Amino acid sequence: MRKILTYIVIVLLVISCQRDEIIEPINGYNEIPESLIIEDVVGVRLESSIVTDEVRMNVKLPYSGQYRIKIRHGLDAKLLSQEKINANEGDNLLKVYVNTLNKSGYILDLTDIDHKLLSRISFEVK
Amino acid sequence: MKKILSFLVSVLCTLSLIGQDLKLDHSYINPPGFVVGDTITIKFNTLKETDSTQTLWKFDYEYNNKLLEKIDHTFKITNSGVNPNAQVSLSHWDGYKFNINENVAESNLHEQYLWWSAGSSSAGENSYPSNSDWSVERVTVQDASPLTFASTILEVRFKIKDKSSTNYSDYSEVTHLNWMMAFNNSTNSYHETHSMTQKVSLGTVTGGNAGDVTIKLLSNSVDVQEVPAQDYYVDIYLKSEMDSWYSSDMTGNYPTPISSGQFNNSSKDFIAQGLENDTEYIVMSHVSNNPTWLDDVVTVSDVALIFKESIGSVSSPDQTNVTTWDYHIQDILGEVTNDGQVDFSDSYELLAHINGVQTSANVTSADNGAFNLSGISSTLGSFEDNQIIISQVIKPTDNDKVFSIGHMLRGDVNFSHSFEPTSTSAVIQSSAETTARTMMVAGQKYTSESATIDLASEIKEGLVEFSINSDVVGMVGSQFNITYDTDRLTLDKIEFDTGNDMTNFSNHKEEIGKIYLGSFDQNFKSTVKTGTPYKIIFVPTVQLNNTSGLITFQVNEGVKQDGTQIKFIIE
Repeated sequence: MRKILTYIVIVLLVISCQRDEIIEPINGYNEIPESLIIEDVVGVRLESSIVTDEVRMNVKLPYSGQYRIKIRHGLDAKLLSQEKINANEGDNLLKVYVNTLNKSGYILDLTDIDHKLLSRISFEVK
Repeated sequence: MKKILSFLVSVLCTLSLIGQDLKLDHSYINPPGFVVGDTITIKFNTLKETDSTQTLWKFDYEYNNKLLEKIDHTFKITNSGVNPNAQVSLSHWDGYKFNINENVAESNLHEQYLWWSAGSSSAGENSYPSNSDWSVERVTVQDASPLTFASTILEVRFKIKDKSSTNYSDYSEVTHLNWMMAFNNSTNSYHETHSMTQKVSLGTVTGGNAGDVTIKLLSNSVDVQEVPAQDYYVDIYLKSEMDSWYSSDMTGNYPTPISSGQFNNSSKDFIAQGLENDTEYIVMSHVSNNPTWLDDVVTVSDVALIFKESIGSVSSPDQTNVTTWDYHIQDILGEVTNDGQVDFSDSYELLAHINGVQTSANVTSADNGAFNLSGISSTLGSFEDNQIIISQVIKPTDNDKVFSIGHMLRGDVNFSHSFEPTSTSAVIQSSAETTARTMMVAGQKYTSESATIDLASEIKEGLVEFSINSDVVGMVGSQFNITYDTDRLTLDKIEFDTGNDMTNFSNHKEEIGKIYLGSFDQNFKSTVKTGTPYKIIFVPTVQLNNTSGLITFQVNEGVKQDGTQIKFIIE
C-alpha cells in the first residue's frame, strides 16, 4: 500500500511539474533537416521560400520562453497574422500555414514577447 | 561565455563563406530610338564572376510607373530548359521606392540586401518608403539543381508613357536594381552580388500624342487605403450625344463612349485618346467586378455617423435644417434605402452589413456592388442654388489636358473610400453639433486616429485561442473581420467581455471561414471595456504544434463618440 501511495505521489509530482503547451523538444525522430539548420544561436528559417498550403519552419532560440511569430505584408509591413508560442531553447520545428493569405510576398518576424525583433525572413505565397 | 564564443565562430564562418561571385544585369532588348507608346522588353540575367553553386536567387527591382506601364512578364529560366524544374515567383507592389543604404556602394546588391533585411529597421529607417512614382517587383528563383548563370531569368514588357503629364524631363532612369540575395541552400552560404547595369535609361524618346487627355482618379480608397486603381473604370461620352439622349426621354440607344477603360494601377490615371480640343465631354467613373474590398467601405464608423444623423433628426423634428452632417453630399451618401431621407432604416441596413449580412438596400458591398458617384473634383459636392453639384463635364484644350475626377461610394459617409469634398461651399456651415471636425477646412475633416491593440493566436489546452486585447478607451463601437483556415480549424465559440451595457454582434460564415464581430452602442454612451474584450476559440481538426498563418485579420476599426474613426495599429 505504501509503495502504491509513493508511486501515486511521484506521478502527481511529475504531472504537476509539466509546462502547458510547450513545444515538443527535438529528438532523434524529428531531427532538424539539413534545409532548416540555423548556424546562429537565434534565427528563423523556412524549408522553402515559395510556399503553397504549408511549410516547415525552424525557430532557433537562445532561451526557452514565450515568443511571437508575425506575418506581415511584404512591403508596408502591416501585420496580418500573429501567434504566441512557448518554445524551447535551441531548435523548434514548427509550421507556417498560408491558406488564409493571398498570393503575394510576405515578411515573417520572430520577436520576443515584448515585440523586440530577433530575426526576419521573407517568403512568397504561390 | 561559451555561447558568445559559439556565436562569434558562427558569424566568422558565415562571413568567410561570402565571396564576390556574380553580377546581376538588366537591359532592354529592343533597338533604341523609342517613341511614346512603344513596347519595350527588359531582360534580367546574372553573370558569373567566380565558380560557385547557388540554388536561390531573390532580388528586388523597381520601375518608374509614370514613365513605364507594365504589360506582362515571362520567366525564361524555366522555359529555356536551363533550369526547367526551378520554382519561380514574382510579387508586385505599387507606390514604393527603395531607400538605398548610402554607406555602401549602390552597386553592391548583397550589402543592400542586408540593409533591407535587417539593417534599415535596426537603424530606425524605412527601407521602402511610399513613393507613388515607383513600383517594386520581387523576383524569386530556387531550384534543387544549381542555378545557371548568363541565361535570361526573366523578361518584362513595358509600354512607354508620355512624360508630358509628369514631373520628369527625360527617361534617364526608368528602372533600378535594388538588392539581391544569392544563396546556396545546401551549404548555407551567401554570395556577394554586384549590379552590372544599375539603372536603365531609354535615351531620347520622341513623339507624345497631343491628343492624350489625362483623367486622374481622386479617392481615399486609392490614395489612403491602397486599393488598386485598376478596379475603377472610366467612360467618356460626347456631351452633345448624351444631351440628345436625355432630350429624347432616354428612349434612343445609349451613346457609345468615345474612350473608356481601367485606371492605371500605379499612376492612378487613365489616358484618354480620340478626344478633340474645345469639345465638351461627359466623364463617368465606376468600380467594376465587385472587388472584395467593397466589403471594407462601410464600417462601424459610417454606422455611427448615420445613427448620429438619424438621432439628430428625430430629436428635433420641427427643425428641418438641423443636421449632424459636415457636408451636404453626405445626405446622398447616407441614404441607402431609396426613401429620400436618412433615418434609422438606413442605420440598421448599414449595421446589418458590418455584421456580414447581405443587405438588399443600396449599401456598397462586394455582394451588392458599388453605388457610384463621380464628378469634377474641384466642384464635386458643392452647394449652389439649393442644389448639390455633381458636374461631369470636361473640355480639353491645348493648354488643359489633365482633369481630376472625384469618386464616391454610397454608404461611405466618412469618405474612407471616397473623395472628400474640397469645395468651400460643400461644407454645411451650421451643423447641429460642434466637434473638432466642424472646425476643419473642407477636404480635411475626416482624418482618423490610431490606437495600438494586440491580436494573437496561441494553443491553449489543445484549443486554438485568438485573443483581441485592447487598452483603447472611449470606443463606442468596434469591428473586426477575421479569416481562419477551415482545413485545420473549426469554430468552437466566441467570448465577449466588452462591458455590461455594450451591444455585441457576431456572424460566422463557415463556408468561407470568416467571422465578423464587434460592438456598437447606439446611444453613444457605453464604451468597449479594456482588457480582452473578444476571444475566439477554435478546435483544431489536425495535429498542430503552432498556429502561424492559421488566422488572419482584415478590417480592424473602432469609432469614438463623435464618429471619428480609430484605425487599429497592431505591432
